[in-house]
Amino acid sequence: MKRWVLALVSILLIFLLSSCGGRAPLEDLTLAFILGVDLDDENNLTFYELNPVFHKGSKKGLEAYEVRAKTIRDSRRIFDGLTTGEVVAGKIQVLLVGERVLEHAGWFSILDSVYRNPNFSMNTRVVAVKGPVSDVVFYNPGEKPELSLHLKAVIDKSYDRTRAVKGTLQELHREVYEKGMTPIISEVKKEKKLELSGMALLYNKGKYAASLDVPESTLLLVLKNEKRHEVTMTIPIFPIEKENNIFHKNELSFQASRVKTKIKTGYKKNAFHFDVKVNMTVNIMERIFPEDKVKKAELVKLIEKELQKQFTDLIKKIQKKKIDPIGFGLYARAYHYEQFKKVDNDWGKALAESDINVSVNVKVNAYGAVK
Amino acid sequence: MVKHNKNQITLMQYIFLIHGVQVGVGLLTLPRELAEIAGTDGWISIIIGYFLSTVAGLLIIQVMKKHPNGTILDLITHYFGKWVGKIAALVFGLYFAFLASIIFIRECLFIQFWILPQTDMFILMLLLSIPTYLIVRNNIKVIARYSQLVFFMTTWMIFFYFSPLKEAHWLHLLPVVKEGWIPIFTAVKVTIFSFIGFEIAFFLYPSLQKKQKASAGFIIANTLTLLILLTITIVIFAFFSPDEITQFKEPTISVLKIVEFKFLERVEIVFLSFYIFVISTTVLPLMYSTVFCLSQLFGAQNHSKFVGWYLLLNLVYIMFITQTFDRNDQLSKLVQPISLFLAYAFPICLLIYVSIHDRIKGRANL
Amino acid sequence: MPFFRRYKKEKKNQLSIPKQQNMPSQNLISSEIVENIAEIQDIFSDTPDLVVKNFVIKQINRPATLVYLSGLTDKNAINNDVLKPLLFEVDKENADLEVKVALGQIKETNTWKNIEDAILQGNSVLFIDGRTVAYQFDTQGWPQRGIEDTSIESSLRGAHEGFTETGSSNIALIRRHIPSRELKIKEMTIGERGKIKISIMYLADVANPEVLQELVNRINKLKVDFIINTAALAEYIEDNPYSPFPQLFLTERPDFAASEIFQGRIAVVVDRSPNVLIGPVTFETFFKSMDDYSVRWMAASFLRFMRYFGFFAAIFLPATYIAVISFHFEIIPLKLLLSVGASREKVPFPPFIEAIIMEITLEMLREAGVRLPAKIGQTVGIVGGIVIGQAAVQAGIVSNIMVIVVALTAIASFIIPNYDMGSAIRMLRFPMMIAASLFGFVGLTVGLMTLIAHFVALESLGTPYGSPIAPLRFTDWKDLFIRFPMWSTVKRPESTRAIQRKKANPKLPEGEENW
Repeated sequence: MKRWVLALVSILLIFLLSSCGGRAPLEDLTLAFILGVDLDDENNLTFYELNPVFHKGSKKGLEAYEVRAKTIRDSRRIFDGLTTGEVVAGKIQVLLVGERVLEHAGWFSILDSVYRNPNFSMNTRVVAVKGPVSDVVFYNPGEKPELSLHLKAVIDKSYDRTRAVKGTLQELHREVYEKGMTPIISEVKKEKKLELSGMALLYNKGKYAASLDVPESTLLLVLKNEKRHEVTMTIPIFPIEKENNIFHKNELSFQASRVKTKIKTGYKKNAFHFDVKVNMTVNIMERIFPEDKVKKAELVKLIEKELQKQFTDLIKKIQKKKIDPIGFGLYARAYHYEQFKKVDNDWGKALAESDINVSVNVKVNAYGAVK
Repeated sequence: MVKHNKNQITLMQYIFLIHGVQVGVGLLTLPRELAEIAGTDGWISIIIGYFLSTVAGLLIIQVMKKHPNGTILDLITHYFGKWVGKIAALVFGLYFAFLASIIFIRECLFIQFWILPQTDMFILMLLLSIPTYLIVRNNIKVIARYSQLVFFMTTWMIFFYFSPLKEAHWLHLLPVVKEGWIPIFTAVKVTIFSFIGFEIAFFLYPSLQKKQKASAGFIIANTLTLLILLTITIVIFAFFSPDEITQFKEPTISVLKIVEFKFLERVEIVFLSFYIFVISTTVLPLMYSTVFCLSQLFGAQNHSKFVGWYLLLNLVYIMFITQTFDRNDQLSKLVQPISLFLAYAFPICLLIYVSIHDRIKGRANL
Repeated sequence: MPFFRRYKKEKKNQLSIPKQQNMPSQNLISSEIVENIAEIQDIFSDTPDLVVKNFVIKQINRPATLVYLSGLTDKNAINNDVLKPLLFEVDKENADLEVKVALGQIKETNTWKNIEDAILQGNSVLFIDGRTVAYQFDTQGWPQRGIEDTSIESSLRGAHEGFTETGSSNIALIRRHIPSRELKIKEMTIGERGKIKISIMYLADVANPEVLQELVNRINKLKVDFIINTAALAEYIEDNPYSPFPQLFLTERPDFAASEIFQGRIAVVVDRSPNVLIGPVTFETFFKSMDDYSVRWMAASFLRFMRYFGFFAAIFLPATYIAVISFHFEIIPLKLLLSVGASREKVPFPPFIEAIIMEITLEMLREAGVRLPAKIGQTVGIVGGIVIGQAAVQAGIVSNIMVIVVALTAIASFIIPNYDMGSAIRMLRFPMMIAASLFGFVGLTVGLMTLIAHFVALESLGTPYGSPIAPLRFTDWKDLFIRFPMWSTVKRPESTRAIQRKKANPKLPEGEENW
């Protein structure tokens, strides 16, 4: 009998004691899908939260709230007071960071709760907002699917087409802590409609440094060797002849089927040298100038020349800002550890002083189905 | 009831028992601990630790060959007399008891922190005690079957770790040996504890069917452990930046937070829930060794009573003393020198003594 | 399990107290026929179906009495083969009874105990005045069912004959598959009151004698009043009575019983029961069906996988649903989460209650369908499945997703070919659901761990139940998840502990032509 009593007692015990430890089921939760961080005009931290409403009566299917609080965790207290269910963070898809927040170095520490608390997802996309966050959060796209789904889909699609970074919390954490590179996040802006405007480059502490538009983002990602499913570029092959031409008859589009970027490092005379070799195999997708305008052999040369110019411009821009979104520092550490160790606390400056050469090698694979 | 091959375990079961004891909670924090000392060169320390533990394990088997039909306790009794044997049983019993308790509590701490933050530790431990009792009260054969089954049930989980490789930066591993060999050797003091657990070979050896393959089996088990430790450590070193890795307390879990499938997100929750199985293959044989030593000490035939008492003691302990990661770390720091002695130093001393003893005896007989 | 053992022992001690008051006397019969008739009438008082036929045997001109129970005997045999020759025929030679009675089996007895048993088993007994032996004729014949198709273990292409309620014909059905002199039958009788004949069948040169001895010992130890059928016998002799899993296999298929005997297992035929017990079995046996061996190996393997998948789904699917909804919603991908959330929005109960409502409804429907005649059973299905399911969702008591989960679970549990294992699985999912509702995935893992703890320790007739999974025996995996082609399975499974591992002439015949 002893055994049965023991079993019975332990089962009872489990029943009694676990009732205090349960969690609310799904329908009693308010799932935050978007979390926004911004500063208002008096530089008070403002948090935004957007969650779906399952109730059939509601028209929008979404609720958005704006509160002023000290930290993310603190904001939950106020959100709880506003929403029906318990606000939970496990499903935050997008974390919006306002332009005004990015202008202050050290904003990254506000995200501490996100990393410390195991409930948060590390796949949340961190997105910079040009302008106030409230514009995006309260934006109702109408026929489009829910904002959270829409925003995430825009980022992911652009990521797949090599136009934006995913910029997950995990990546941001890595880039912020890594001495050999600086963070990049995708950037959206809302003018009439919500659109992806490119990428925001940050200083190592997270302070905003510069923005890149979408074509520049592609170039940067190519340099980072992060080609995804597709890389498409449209570049001018020769200068425009007539000023008033509506149709720019000098553009050529191609899709790169293979992109390989090799970075070679060297260290000479107290400065780093980087030799960037971009190898591309491309398929011409579009050529709106007549065939006889440029000879085939010349065409490749012209593409290479134009790309090289664009890459060099981009790198110059980066060097000027003393940032390293490409991660030259990783190469420097891997191959010149001693020298890198000396400058790793101010790598951006060391990179600005170093010498970077870009060479582009293009092979055309196909010219398309028509002549 | 017909008894056949009573308490005999096959070579495969022997391999997975040893391997199972080695891989457990330590794996969750190992990459961070290595990175703190040796940076991304920590993986070299694992290999060094592997060689040390292999040597120690082979020594254990050499010792056990001197007295093939008994456990280490019988061997000590044979060479040193009854009372020394009793003391050895007490020492081994206490050592395994502490080790098992620390790991058991740590397991509960991990579950509480990562999966069930609102559940009481006591309840969690009570819950885990149910299957633990059901298995440990049986003989070694059943535990061996369990370890073997769990190994095949859980090895597929290593494939989760290939998914973060898509975002890995292999440059992090370069240059190899960046800060010289000193930090690497310093980190060996972490890695030799990752292989701890092979000392249960002291107790497994008499049960093994094919004793001539004991050494080979041990090397296979240890190599398996090495492969798993190495794979996970290298994946984590390649995934996290060397500058950020020390930020994560359990990088082995954190790395899975980014893994997503079309039908499943937040893999770390599923992983850790299933990882309880892996930890159980550490805890159960250790507990079995504990109760085995105790039943030897008291000369009891049936050890299942001791299992109940041992688990009850753990529950009482956890009920009255609040458990934290820090306390647990301190306790495991306390046990480490004992592990070092029992697993590494003790076999050497014993082997030397036993060989000399045998030679003198042999000469006397001539 | 010290406690269980003690308990068992006590139970057995109680049972061993003889309850039967009228022990049959060991006395011998008398030579006076009148005394014998009196004794018979004394033993069988208040037995209206007892026939006592007095007559004079013409050959030797002596009074004789034939005694039998009218319902248990074959009237044709008694009239034509016993009475007719004795009453009317006179031969020149002084031929004895053996020659006269046209029956195959004639036994001579002289104790009352034997006579009583013989009459009760449907034999007829002949007393002859002046002789101290009685003759016992094998005139058994009672109402019996013909051989019919199997009902639970039905098969598409396999044989369609099933065991019946007559032990001797069941033995015959098995023997037809195994025409070998190595097929031995050990007979024993158990039951104090309801004496029942038990025949243990095995291949003497294959089956392990230790296992056989174990089985015989267990049956011998039984001191019970009666055993109503094979399942009752299985319950008395199985290794762990507190296990949810069946540890002995009950089959109604002669071909299955025969194939298991070929593998080196032992079959127990219990008279009056249409099932045959097979032991020692392993867990995987319950996932095999005879059809696996009558379709091509690839199709069979696919079905095997489906069954194991069904096993896990039936136990863990509702529990996983509960765990995910109440603890780990994070793991559901976003779009699925939105639809789950929308479907659960109106449900007033926590997921556990919701699941319990649906699961209990389903189990009741299923049980209602089993006992009802087939035509009404269909109506129950319609009422239950369509009306309740649909209405419950529309009323907002359960969510759509829950209905899908429960339906999937039901289908998954139907896929298990063995009824006992299916019932075990149906039961097991409730503790899993409780564990999941309390501890989420951790509860599930601990539930699974407990199941495995039980699984690895369980034995069937002293043979590991989990083989070839735990203990792991890769050689036996040829007939586990993938049923390898017949010609590649050369050896008998290790789990039968057969003393002759290699099957005879397993290789493919080597053809002459090389196409």
